Amino acid sequence: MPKGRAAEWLLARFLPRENAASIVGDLLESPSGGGRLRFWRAVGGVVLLVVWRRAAATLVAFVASVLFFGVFQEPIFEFSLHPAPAAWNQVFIWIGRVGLILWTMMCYSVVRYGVRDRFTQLAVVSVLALGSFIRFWWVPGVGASCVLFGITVIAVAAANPSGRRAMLALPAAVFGALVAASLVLFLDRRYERLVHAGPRATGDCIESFVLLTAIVLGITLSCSRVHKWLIDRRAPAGATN
Amino acid sequence: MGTRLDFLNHNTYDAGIYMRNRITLGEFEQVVLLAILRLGENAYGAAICREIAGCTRRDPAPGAMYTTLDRLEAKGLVDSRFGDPTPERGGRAKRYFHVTPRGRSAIVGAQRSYRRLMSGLRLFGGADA
Repeated sequence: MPKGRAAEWLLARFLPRENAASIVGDLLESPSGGGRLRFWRAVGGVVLLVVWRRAAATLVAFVASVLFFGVFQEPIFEFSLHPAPAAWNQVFIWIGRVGLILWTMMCYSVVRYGVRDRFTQLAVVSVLALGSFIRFWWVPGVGASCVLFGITVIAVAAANPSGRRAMLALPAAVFGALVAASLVLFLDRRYERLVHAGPRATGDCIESFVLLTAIVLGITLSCSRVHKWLIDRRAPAGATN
Repeated sequence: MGTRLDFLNHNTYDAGIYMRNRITLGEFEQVVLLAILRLGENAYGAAICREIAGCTRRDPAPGAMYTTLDRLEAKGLVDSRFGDPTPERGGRAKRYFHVTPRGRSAIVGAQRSYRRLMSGLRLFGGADA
């Protein structure tokens, strides 16, 4: 395979095909494109700069979700200390699930898009509000303050177009992540026997790792797709984040 | 080439846009924007690289340049269009860049800031060199 076609194929994994083709054309045309080593070093540089943030963000999201299950789940997202009324049990379970997704999404978004991004800002504020509510829901003042804080954030975000887009994108990303996580759990139940091929304890460990990795990938994929469709593409020329 | 940068002296409308929106530009972003302005209608990746290398005596890394161009486009400071495929590039089209009015006002504002900082200094062969 000629180096131009191979490089174009590689770049097209990370960039729109037209952009990848034009970049390869530029590299072949420029003096540094002459030598094979220089050419591939330039291609590698482009790939590295395009993917490093995405790769780092996915890694951070994975570590964050491990921390969540290992450290934060008990003290923050645990209702057992103050059990919810039976009638509200399901609601609280779903709030906890959304909290987990938002937490992972926030960590991913901070690295991938930066703290000046509206989506990230809304995710951070949502995690703060939801985390406080889950931890202190039984304290009337804190619970009411969280709800009031949430309403204020929505009102402030609705005041400008980028805030409104973020308000649309965040629930869409959470919904996508919930669908992805449900699919992963469904597949796990359906094909559980394949994972438990070895000794039970080993199987549990592998299963947990595979499950968590798949769920985190689902969350990050949902986040990046929704951000691309609802925020990147619809941002008017001249919009600043 | 100096005449192409004359807009720095009289474009008060653009500077007004800059002041209202507070667009911040990094040093390399300014270099890329100025290279696109200098090239006019012929501003595509390889040509921008050559222009920067010729004017600044430094060879920009292609990866850094393409991510900068994409970032400038995302900020609405440049826009791009694809030309026709050319045989000398293996049938690959050139992606031409053009500085938008917003990009122009951003570079004007940034360069004016430099000028204000430079005023009173005699760096070129003067006492502060």
